[in-house]
Amino acid sequence: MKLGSLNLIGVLALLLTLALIGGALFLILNDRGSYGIPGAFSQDLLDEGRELFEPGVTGLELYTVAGPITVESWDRPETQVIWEKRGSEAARDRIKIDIRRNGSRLTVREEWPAGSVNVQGWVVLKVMVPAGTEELRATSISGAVKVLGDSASLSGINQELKTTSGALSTDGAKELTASSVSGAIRFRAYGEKVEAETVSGSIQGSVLGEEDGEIRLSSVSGSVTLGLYEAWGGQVSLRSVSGSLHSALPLILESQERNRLTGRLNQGKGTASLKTTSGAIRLEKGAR
Amino acid sequence: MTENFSHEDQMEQARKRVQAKLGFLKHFLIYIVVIAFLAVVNNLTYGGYQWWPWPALGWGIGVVANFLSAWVFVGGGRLEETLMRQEMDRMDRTDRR
Repeated sequence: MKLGSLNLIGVLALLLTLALIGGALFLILNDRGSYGIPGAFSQDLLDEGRELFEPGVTGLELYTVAGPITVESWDRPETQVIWEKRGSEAARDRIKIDIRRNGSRLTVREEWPAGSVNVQGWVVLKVMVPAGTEELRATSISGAVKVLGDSASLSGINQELKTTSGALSTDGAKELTASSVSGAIRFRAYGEKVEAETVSGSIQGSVLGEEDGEIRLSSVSGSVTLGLYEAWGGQVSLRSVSGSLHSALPLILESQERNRLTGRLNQGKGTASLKTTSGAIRLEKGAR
Repeated sequence: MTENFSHEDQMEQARKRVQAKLGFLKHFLIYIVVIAFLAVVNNLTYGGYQWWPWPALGWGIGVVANFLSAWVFVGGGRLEETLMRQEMDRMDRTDRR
């Protein structure tokens, strides 16, 4: 190799390096909001969309990965789905909102293509539901799930709410199944069957229906508080391994141990089981 | 003696400069291969956030600095030569005493 060739190759290598540095700078400065932090030239961090469905939707199935789900009652007969994709532009491009209506059933799912691990993005989902909705299944992996509205319009909806690390709350449900790992659960239910379980969150709820049904509330390290309407009748079991037990209702005691209390409220066929390991348990009078 | 020293010194200096230039080319090739590898890994594991431009930027600045030291800022060799000559003269004077 001649010295002149070496110099020429060196200069070409330099130019290539400079081009690579320029490209890297361009990509860095144009990165829109990776990890939720806007890049230097970022314009926005969310994409919005909404879709209105004709009356007749009575069943809803909702699913998000990291974003919250809010279901709210309204006085219109249609069902409306509103979503916001949030996070980096790459993430928002990848997220798909799969909405399918099959007769009276509406399914809304956040979907990611394969190989999207660690891409920073999430969907905020809101669904407006009319009176007459009968069933709701809402699952978020790590987001909160909220059902908002006046109790009367929500009291006819059987609900199944699930999350891993978010909180769950419903202003009204008919039958309710709620489960979380580390989130708190707050509810107001009117149906015969209410089941709520969490590991490290607290549970606070009221069962206010006319029927004496089956109530099972369980936490590991959180407190459990249940409000029951006055006429509720049935067997009650309160159990906390290391927390206190308290009943503000006129419970007819059947057995009482250090960490367990069983008794009866009025005449009825209902059962209420409240369990926790380290939290307090309170039975209160529920207000309608 | 002086001519010998000057010739050896020039040989040594030329050798160092050629080594620096070849060293830069090796550095550049490693830079290109590693950055290409990082870009492929980035996009195979997840294509969302592109993190490989950061090492490409930082390391690229180092490669440019390497080029400058091998081709542009080579005056250090002359300074070294001048200082060595002065040092040799001083040693000669000390020996004569």
